[in-house]
Amino acid sequence: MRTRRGRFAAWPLAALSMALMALPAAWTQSARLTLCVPLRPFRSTALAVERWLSSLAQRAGGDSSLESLRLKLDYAESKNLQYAADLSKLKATLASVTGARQAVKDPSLTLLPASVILPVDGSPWRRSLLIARGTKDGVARGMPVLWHNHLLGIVADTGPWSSRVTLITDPDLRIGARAVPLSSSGAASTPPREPGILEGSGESVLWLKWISGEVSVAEGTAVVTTPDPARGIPEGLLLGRVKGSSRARGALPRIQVVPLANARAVDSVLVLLRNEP
Amino acid sequence: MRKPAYVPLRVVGFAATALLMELLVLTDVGGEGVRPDLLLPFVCFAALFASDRAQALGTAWILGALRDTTSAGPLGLYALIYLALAWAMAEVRLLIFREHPLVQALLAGGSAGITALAAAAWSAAFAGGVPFLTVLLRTSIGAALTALAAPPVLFLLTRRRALVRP
Repeated sequence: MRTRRGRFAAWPLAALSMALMALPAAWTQSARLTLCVPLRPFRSTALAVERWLSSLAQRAGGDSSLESLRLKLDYAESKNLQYAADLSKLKATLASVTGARQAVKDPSLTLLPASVILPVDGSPWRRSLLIARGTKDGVARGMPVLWHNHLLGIVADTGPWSSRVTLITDPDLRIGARAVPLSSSGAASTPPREPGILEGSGESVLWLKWISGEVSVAEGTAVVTTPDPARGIPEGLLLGRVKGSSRARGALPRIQVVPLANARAVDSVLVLLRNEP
Repeated sequence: MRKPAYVPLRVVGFAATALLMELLVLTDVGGEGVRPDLLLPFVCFAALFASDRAQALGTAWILGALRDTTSAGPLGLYALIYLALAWAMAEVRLLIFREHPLVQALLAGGSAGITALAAAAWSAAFAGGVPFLTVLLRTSIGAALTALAAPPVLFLLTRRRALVRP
């Protein structure tokens, strides 16, 4: 009798799981994002652990004489490193805002810095990150998220204090894009070219599809956004660099694009807010 | 009434710490974003060493919901997968030598493979396709890493039972 009752214990939970899966994501994401907010301090701890491990690895070969002096020196060095890290973080934010401002010239668009809480998604097949800005800061679904002048992704869900950003490498995201040759100065020039759709694949490459078969795209060509007023994506934000192309499945070429920014290594991002008049 | 083998909340607490490690420190341990599923060893422990089936299934479901919290996918997907895995493990627990590290590694690795394939199928159906060879390669590496991680976790939880006992 006990075994029989135990066998049926799975069904209520299975039914509950399926009922939860049937709910719209917007209903559940807000609560999930709020639950993740307390994880914010762990990100900086994890980065500190990584730095400590790398410094340990560097010192692995040193000799052990003059240990006390070395400890004092280590302490001074660690304080120095902490200040340098704070300074570099501020410099990085400034450089990021300056870079983004060069690409986003529309004065009605504001850049909101946001630190990253979780750099990866819980599922290995999705590409998203969690940022520490939410609806209370004016963040809304569909807003573009930048790092320097690179488009990292789009805000997919928002909570009061945090938001989930779907990255351009996620299989669920499609963005209007075009390939433009780099000018001699290294900056991407934007002559009129055929636009296409950039699709994520869940791995570290993207596919530029639906561009005219007559357009030739050389390896190393920059891929930038096309203007998308509906989603508030400005023109010319960097997405990646062309790695190769193929025509295996039809007349239209499929162009392989490698993203230029590594979202897993990013500490803070910029959310592009539109100031309503 | 049988005494519970572990306090589910304590197991969930340790599992949450492991999940944090997975998402913050081991994000790229297998290259290309491949990492071990550090919740599965806890699901194995919950299923193999529970005092009754309800405790095993309930703990596994909570662990799945924990992963769902950090995912862009639907709430309940991992809860359902972990629940099914815990149910299967609870079914066979009397037929296997659950204390053996190799058995634990095989169970965790196999579970990681099934979890990754099920999540990939869901992603392909409702979000967007991931190339099949990529799925196979990343699933295999992730399963191998999970298999490596499982025996130490289960050793700690079974040999230091005071950590999770009532």
